[in-house]
Amino acid sequence: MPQVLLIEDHQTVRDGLQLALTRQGHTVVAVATGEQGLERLRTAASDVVVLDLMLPGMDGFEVCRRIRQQGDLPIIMLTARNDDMDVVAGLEAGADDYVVKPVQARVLEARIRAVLRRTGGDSRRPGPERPGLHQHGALTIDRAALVVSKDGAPVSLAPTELRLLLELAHTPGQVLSRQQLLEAVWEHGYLGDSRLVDACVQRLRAKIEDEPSAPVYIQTVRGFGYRFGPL
Amino acid sequence: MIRAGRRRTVSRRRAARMLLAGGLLLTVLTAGCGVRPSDVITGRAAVSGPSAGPGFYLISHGELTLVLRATKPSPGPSLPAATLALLAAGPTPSERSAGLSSEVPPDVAPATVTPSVDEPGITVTMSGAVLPLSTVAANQIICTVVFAVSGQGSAPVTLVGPDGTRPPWPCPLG
Amino acid sequence: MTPWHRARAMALGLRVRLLLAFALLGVTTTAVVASGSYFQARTVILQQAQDAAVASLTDQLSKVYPVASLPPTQEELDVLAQSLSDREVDTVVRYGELWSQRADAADIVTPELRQEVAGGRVAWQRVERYGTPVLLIGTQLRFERSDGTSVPSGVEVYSVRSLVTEQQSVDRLAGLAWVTGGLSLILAVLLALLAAQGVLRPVRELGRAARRLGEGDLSTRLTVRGVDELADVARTFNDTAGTLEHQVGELRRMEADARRFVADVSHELRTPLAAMTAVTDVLDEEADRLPGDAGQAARLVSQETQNLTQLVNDLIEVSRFDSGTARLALDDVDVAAAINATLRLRRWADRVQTDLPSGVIARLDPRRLDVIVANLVGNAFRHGTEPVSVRLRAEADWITIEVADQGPGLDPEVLPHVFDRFYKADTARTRSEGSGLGLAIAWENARLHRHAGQSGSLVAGNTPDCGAVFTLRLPRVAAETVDAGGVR
Repeated sequence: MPQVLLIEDHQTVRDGLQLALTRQGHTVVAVATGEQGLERLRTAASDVVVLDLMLPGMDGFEVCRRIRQQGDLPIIMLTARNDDMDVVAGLEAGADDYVVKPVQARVLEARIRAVLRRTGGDSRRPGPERPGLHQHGALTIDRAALVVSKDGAPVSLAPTELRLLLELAHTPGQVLSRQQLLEAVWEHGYLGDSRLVDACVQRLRAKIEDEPSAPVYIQTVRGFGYRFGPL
Repeated sequence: MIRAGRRRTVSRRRAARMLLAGGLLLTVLTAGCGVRPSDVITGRAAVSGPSAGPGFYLISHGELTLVLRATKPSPGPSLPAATLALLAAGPTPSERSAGLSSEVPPDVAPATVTPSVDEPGITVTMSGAVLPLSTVAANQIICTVVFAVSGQGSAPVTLVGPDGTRPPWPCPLG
Repeated sequence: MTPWHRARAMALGLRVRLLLAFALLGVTTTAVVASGSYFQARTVILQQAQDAAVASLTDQLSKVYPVASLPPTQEELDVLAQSLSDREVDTVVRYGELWSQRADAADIVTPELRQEVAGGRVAWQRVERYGTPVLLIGTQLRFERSDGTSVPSGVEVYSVRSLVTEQQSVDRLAGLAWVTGGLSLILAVLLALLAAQGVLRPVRELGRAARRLGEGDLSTRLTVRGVDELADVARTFNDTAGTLEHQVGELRRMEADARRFVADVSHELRTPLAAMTAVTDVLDEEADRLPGDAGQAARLVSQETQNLTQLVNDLIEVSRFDSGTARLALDDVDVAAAINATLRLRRWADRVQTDLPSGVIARLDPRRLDVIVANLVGNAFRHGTEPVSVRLRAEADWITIEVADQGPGLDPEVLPHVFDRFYKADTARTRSEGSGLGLAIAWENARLHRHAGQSGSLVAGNTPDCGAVFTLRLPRVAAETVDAGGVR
């Protein structure tokens, strides 16, 4: 039974989402502020965080960053439709996915399931699985244990970042378009937001590349998408 | 269209006027250059001066001509009378060869020259007849007298002879 | 304006006219002054020369007196003429038919001069001899009488004096006048250029400022210099521009207020809508289980909540265009695949005839392309008659997408308003068929894609065989949005 932490300051929205998600079979803990949410995470575990960006006191971006500092807990942002900059900033702060308010419960629920599938416990989905150790330059990818290490030192990756890396490393030297990656990693329909991919690539590069501005592992192929290597 | 046409005519007219003005200016400038021939300009009266001797009038080509002689006139009762004597004597050979002649008969001298009595002018009383004298001869005498008598520039001269008196007459020469 | 007209306009331009006027003024003034002083000087020079010559001649002649004998002999005449001649002066003496020797000068003695001399006065005349000007002086020799009158002696003296020296002086004067005229012309032209510069600079500035104002830069002002008429014009221009700026600013402020109000209302509506939308699924699920009216009411609330959400979303979208905060999220997209995905997602794939060549890759915002195509096809289904067709064509720099239906087409009166917000062609149309903003948003989305200064376009029209056709034109490679607020 996935445990969902819902951080939303408007009470009616909070109640409505809690009601709907609970009916979908989730255990929902709803809090009104970012501080309460972080406090809750310290005392009890959650599987996924649904986070409103517009919060009184500590805002959603800060909450996002703090959760990311502590671990790889999946985060789904609730954002207003007119705030493009918010989307980009939220993704840079480490969110895995976002939905635009007003959102129907079943849409949010589908995103929650998709993001949970990316986490280790629920990753037995069909896809580019080829168990075993793979060495790519200084990078070692253990597809069985879902552990990535660089020069022997383990690299801490959020679930979405890990899935993206696995997806790209599965076919080294082959270009994958953003839409392909969106469908494979985020399980979005055709018209996903390609900024999800770009933001995630940025975060991933910051963790595995020696020189994020001159990437070696995840290369941009202008006009097409991304490619792993060639090294 | 009409406006444009009118404007064009106006500007053309203005251009023509400017051309005309420029042309006029140039004509004046070029035509007025240098020293141009002129009309006759008259100044003061012609040069005049004294004569050294007695002068009397002879005829040259039918006209009265002043003749001066370098010789002093013989002393006599008066200068005009002496001059009249010279006139009556007629031209010298050299004068004659120069084409001078006289119609005055030798018998007019001697004569006396006096101011007229009851009118302005000069009266010449001669020895010979005065009525048969030709007009030219009379003029010779009148002008010679007028030239000789000072202060009587255009005074009429009355010739008196034994046969009568000619009416007063001025010298026709200016 | 033909090139000939432009050339004429330039030829008669202010600069040229000023130049001509100044040059004409300069030349005229110089000509008048120079020619005036030239003529004056020439008269003075000639008069002095003539007077001196006459004086010299009469002076010498007075030494002839007293005259001893008349008539003169040829020898006497020659001697007299000799004594009156020198290097510059050539003199002849005449007595009746008798002329002194070297009588060549006699040829040029004019009849009118002789007539004047015969009248008893000193007379002179300038004539031309062998191409050079000479001065001809003639006088009688007269005898003075004691009463002041004189009588002619019959002797006439004519002296010929060259005026070449005077001619040279006059020529020098003329040359000087020409040089002065030329210099003053140059000076006039220079002054004209300066004046033209002085007059034309403010005029040019005024022209530039007016153009800038016309192009919409209402903050344009001129620097007012001096107190002349041009300064007045500049001041008037500034006042006008100021008034204009103020009023336009006022209008813009009011419009912005109105738009901000719409945006604010939309945002305020979003929070309650978010709560309602969250539970529409619950309502839908429960509706079936609710008895009669309650179930119907639940479905109605759920449906209208979704419609209201759509309307508010559209309003927010429109207000983003108005405020210029709309941004493109560019991606390289296979256009045919994107259109197919749009149709597939809305389950229209079977109902639409497509002509979509594959392999057309464009760099654009796929979400906005989806919005445009969905709105156009949805509109065609609502107002046209099936079959609806979608056609893609690619050029070098642009792609064209045509959405056509087989309906009655668009009324010519409707055509200009198709993209207006909330425009209802059919007054009987009900609200539930769309927010009324779909085509307006599609239009704005098309314009947001820009390439090389040109923006994309969406045009409505009719096909030859009746039926509405919407033509979308987007750049092959859209520029990254810097600031592309669609202002209408």
